[in-house]
Amino acid sequence: MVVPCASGARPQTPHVSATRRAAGAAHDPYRNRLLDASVPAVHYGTARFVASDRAGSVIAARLCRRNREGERVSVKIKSQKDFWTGCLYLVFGAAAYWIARDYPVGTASRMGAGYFPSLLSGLLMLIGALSLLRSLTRRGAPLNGFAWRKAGIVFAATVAFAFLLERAGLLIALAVLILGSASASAKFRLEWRAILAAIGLIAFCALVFVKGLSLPMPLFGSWFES
Amino acid sequence: MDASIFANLGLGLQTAASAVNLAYCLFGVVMGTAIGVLPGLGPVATIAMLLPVTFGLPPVSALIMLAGIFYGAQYGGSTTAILINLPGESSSVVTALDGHEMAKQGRAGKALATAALASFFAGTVTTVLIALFSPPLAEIALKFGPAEYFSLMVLGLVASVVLAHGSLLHAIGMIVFGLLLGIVGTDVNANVARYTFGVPELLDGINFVVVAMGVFGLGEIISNLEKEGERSLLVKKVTGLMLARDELKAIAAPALRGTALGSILGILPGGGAMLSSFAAYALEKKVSRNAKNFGKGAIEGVAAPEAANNAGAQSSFIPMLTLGIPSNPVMALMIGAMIMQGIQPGPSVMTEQPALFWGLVASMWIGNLMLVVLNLPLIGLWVRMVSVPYHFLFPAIMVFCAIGVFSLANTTFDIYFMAVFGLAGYLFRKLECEPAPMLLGFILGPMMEEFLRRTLLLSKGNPLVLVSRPISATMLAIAALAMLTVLLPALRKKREEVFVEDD
Repeated sequence: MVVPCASGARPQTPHVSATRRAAGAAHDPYRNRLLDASVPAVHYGTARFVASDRAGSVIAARLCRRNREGERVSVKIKSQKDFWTGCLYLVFGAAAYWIARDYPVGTASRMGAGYFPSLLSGLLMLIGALSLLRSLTRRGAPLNGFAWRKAGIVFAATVAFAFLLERAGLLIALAVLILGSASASAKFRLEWRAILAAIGLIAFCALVFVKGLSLPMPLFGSWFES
Repeated sequence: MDASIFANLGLGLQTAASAVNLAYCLFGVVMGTAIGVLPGLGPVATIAMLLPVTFGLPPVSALIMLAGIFYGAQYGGSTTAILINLPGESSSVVTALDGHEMAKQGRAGKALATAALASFFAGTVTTVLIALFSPPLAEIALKFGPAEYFSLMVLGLVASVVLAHGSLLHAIGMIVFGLLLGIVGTDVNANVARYTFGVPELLDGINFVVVAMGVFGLGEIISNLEKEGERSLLVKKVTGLMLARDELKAIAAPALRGTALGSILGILPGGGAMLSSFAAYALEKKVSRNAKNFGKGAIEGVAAPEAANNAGAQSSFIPMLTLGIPSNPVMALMIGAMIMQGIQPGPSVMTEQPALFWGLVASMWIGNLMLVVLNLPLIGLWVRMVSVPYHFLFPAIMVFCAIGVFSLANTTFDIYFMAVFGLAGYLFRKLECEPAPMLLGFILGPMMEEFLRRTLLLSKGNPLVLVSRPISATMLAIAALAMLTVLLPALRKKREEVFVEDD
């Protein structure tokens, strides 16, 4: 996969731009996304990986950078795992550092709320940078394709359960979670045995958790209230 | 000294042998085995899933039950490894080598019996070791100031990555990432909300159960689904559990060596069950007279790692109980459980709550006894549980994870968060970033910050105090040394050898 390079910029080191945000981040949408601190950084980490996966599972990633004469040369990434881990650490570190600016650092003898986080995020960025460096010098095992469909289904089923639990109620939320997540398996067939097992599990949960342990989960949620 | 140990163990037995605690111990052991036996579920996921069940219990019962779940799950993992060559956790990987081979030859019963007996033997020895070594260690620890504690935690975290497998750099990154995650929430000293993004649910920080269930529960499920293949259950019915006399003789020495190795490695921060079993297998392969049969169903190849992993699992309780330092993710969960019960883990637990401490120690032996007595007759049930197909299993695991996480604070917010951590856990696995160090960092993060704050407050901002106090300096030196040895090429090769034993 080819990482798009904005004229000579080095997307692999977003922390550099974190300190110079004002200077020319405006024309680089990728950098802006990274630095928008109002949204948790988690999304960016995953979003970029989705993009990379689409471009192909065996990635021949190339970076653009300029040599001494100012010509563009490409650098081959030798270890994709190191590369993406480095990116991830850098992004998290930069985001954590960026957010921690708002916390009072204090002095060493009176550590403020920002002291430890700044220290740690600096360290994380350093480790990320080292990992990126290593990805260019040391060969590593290739990154095999991601099971995004399965991961997505498991994620979506869990989120759907959380969303439905208080709205539709436990019974429907469980049915969605069980049958939804089961569809992630290649071996799953919607046949009588599966449905019977699902009904059994739902009944078990309703009896044990709601009747027995009286967890505050409605069997039928707010959608059914008139 | 000796007399007081007997008095202490007496007190412990009194506590652990009360009808209520016996019942919880039994419940823990059975549930732990039942869930641990399910393919693809290791002790961390099992404990995380069952943790909410213990919240309503008094602290002693809760910890006894959790400990029971732990070695139950450990034992269940070995059963799965032997029967279907699908180790639920990394520490039973080596058990699968010879154990599964034995099962193929129709000697599954003997392999399971060997595992049970070796584990029981190791458990008995380690219980005594814990009773012997914990009090002096706690006494030393009571003299520790904040600087020593900070250095000790650094040492613990460093050791946990040095002894783990995979990239050292990535593992350190995961620790730092975990430490940062641990910071999320309100800083009690400055009353500043950190990394909460204005979300009120985050003001109290992220619950470690949410992280553990996400990363080790959901993340593991996605990984398992990815490599969903055919699993063949060779053994429909296990018979021939009894070992002949010469077989008992054959396993005695390996079990002893495994126990010795396991209990030493388990005490080390970062050690524990996995390293112990790998090392024990490697050692046994070198010294055993039967070495040529290793990998082809040698009974010694089951006894040694099984004894070692149980010994390692139990002796990792020593640093947890005396110093309050988790040496592996399971201990991190135990510490989390203690904090939730309102107990500050550390050397004072032993003096302030002797009944709790010694009760837990005594319950370990009782739990191990229960495992042997129960598991051999119940083996038919476990075989049936092992054969439940994974595509029926994982939706149920997800249900229990989701409801368990909800029950922590009765909020659906935690379920969303668990889903995010599930994706993150899968991603980390793909990138070969071990999630275990992250969980250690996550638990230790707030403690480390507090100890660093106090250290620097006392030293008026001079960080050199960490290296000028002898105990603290020694620990940092050991940590540095440990890092260096891994970076040295010759030793790195050795380390890789130990971990590729399963080829």
